[in-house]
Amino acid sequence: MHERVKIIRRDVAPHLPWQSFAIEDPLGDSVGESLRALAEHVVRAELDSTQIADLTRELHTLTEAFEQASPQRVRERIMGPEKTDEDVYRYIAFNPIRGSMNPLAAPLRVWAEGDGVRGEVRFGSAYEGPPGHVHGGHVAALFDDFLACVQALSGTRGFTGTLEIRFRAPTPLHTNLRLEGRFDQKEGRKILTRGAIFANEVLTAEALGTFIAPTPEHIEKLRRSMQENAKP
Amino acid sequence: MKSMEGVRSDVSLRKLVDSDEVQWNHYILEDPAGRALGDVVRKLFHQVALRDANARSLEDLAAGLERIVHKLEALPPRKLQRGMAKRATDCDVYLYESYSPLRGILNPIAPPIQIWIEGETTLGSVTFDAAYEGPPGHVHGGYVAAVFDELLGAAQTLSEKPGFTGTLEIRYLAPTPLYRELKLEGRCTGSEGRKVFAEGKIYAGERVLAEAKGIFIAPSGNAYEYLERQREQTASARETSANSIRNPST
Repeated sequence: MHERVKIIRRDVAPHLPWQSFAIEDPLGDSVGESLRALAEHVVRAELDSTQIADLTRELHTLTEAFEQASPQRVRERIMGPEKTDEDVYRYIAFNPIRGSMNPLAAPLRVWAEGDGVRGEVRFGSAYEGPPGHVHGGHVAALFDDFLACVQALSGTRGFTGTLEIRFRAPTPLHTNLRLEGRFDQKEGRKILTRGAIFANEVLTAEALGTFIAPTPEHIEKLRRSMQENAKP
Repeated sequence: MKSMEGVRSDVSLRKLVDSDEVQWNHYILEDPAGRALGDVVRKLFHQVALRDANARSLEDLAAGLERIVHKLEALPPRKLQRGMAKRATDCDVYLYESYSPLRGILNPIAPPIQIWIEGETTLGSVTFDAAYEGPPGHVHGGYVAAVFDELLGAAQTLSEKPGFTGTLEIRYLAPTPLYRELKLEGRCTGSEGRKVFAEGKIYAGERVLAEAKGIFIAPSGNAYEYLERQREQTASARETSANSIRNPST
């Protein structure tokens, strides 16, 4: 990782973690893209029984080789004060909605613009719910992550408390989607945000997200819960 | 369940409920080879998320994937199933579902969630791995929301006029752990004109982690036929975006 990834810290927006780093990781990006292409082709290709068996075997070999060559990630550090820029980058790179290296992520790109936050994403065939359109679950998932980015404008960051999504029109696949979000207000530990998704200038869905800033007790609970449960 | 023509001979439909009606919960698609393929890709995704890969092992992985994707690109595209249209065959319905991005065993991005109906209640089960991580050690809130869309979407099919998600309100009560079997429970709570109401909860053991309410809107006229027509028309857009997967412009 050290020799492979170039991390440039931008101090312009230290409170916006998704904007405070510029990353150069062509190898990680290319692995992410190949994994995405793999999922997309598995969903799209007409495969006969022999092709399925061959492909499964080839993927087993590849997965096992990778597993043996790579040590397990230390994920606990991200919770503590000793976390490095690289830990933060890595965390974002594996985010299941935004992460360039996570094939579950389309991925969503997010940036600050004016007094709000903007985003862009394009979904492929693997995300199909209604014919030709993005599964409603993935529209909802997009809002959770996007509004979690938007809340950073408040200067505080918390965990999702409530999320209300209103679906206005089917969201098309294979189309660049534009996201707009803004921070409304803070009420004690609550951070109120809202956002919308547009496809070709048509509003397809909008959402309200309330995030709750954690207390030190919350963080401690999360850490304990992680240690108790989160082992493969 | 007669029509299985055009489908691999090692795929079959097993009847769960004794009824002639075509319903998603009456049958299960048995496809061990397809499931194994879905599972190995899921395993690979998990390993990539879990490992501290060095440049060497990532290069090897990238080269191997390049070879495989290159072969897959040369294959003809799968026939699009009419999973929702009136003229869909039984087989179309089950194949469509097996590619669902949340429930589909053949879709590598699906965890996959299992959902079934017992009486008036819709039940489900799912376990998430590190690829779905949001807060450290826990499931990303977006996937919690996605589970509810699917769960409540299944629950509302028990109404007379099931439809598309109109609104979805999720309340997160506690972080949802990775690597634990989560239990899902949903029910249809009524309808009003074209609106259908549904509610659900996600549990780890006895503990409720999140709950949701949804309103689904029954489509007017032939919305499914319309969507499927649109889908066929976007086949060319789909091919264009196949290239953009490999060569993103940004």
